[in-house]
Amino acid sequence: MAKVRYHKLDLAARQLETAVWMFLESKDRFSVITLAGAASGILMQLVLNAGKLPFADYGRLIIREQSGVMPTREKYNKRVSDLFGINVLKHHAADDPPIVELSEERAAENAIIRALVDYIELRGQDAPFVKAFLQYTWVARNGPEVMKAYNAQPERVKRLRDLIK
Amino acid sequence: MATHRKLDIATGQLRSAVMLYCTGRDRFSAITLAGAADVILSQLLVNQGKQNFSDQLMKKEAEVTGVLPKRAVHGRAINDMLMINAMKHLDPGEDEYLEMDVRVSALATVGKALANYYALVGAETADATDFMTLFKLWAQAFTPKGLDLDGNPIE
Repeated sequence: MAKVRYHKLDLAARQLETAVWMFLESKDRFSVITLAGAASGILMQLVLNAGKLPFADYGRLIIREQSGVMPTREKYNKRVSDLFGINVLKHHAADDPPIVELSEERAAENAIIRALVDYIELRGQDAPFVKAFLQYTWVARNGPEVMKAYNAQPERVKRLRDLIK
Repeated sequence: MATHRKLDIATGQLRSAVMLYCTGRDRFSAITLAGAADVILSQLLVNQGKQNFSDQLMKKEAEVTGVLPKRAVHGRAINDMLMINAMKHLDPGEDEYLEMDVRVSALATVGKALANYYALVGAETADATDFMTLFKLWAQAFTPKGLDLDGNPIE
């Protein structure tokens, strides 16, 4: 087979779809985290290239609302990737411990959510794997309660996305 | 918070990569997963004082050129050639398109990680895994005469 030309959005989408499939099929959580993390590494820049707001920048806006200080995008991404176990699953330096601590079930879910937010910004919610995962989280994370908590936020926080448009 | 051995994490990633490759379900993801597993397995080998697959390639290259490249530089060049980095990064200003032969890149990435896994855990443990068995069966079925220099099955 000869070389084929691909758009990076298709590469990210493929990896994210596989991550969602593996998650919903209860397959290896570390593989899910790795794939969702790789998809995020592409999707964030594509969202920025499209002139839209990526997950990372929305997160940074929320931190600014809460603390008055906005972290750099690089610092925010590093922190989130560390929290979700993405970095430790693809790196191993000579002096790194041979053991890691991670709640992989929740980390896998969070890593998918982060990538999915950016994917939806570019391609919407129509793909079956997107609908499947959104439905899963709505049920598993008690969607009505999450919306109640969201609606209790100050109007300014709810309108952060609109404020920067 | 649960505790996990890096070796077990890499083994899980590698198993997923082999399954995705051999079934043809998603060879792009096979590259990412085998690439991540390989980083961990390569370092675990070095920590045990053993040579990993890249070290062996570096030595062969040095026999031809007379110069032993630095491990980090050599590793980065191989990762770029196999498209491992392209599968997980997009930098500002970088081309949003790329050209690749996903079958060849994925096969090479999975094969490299399997070679390191084999060297790290030994033949007996490696051969007892379902993913090593699957990969060998796949190779017998689809590349019975081996691969040519471009990574295509010999007719």
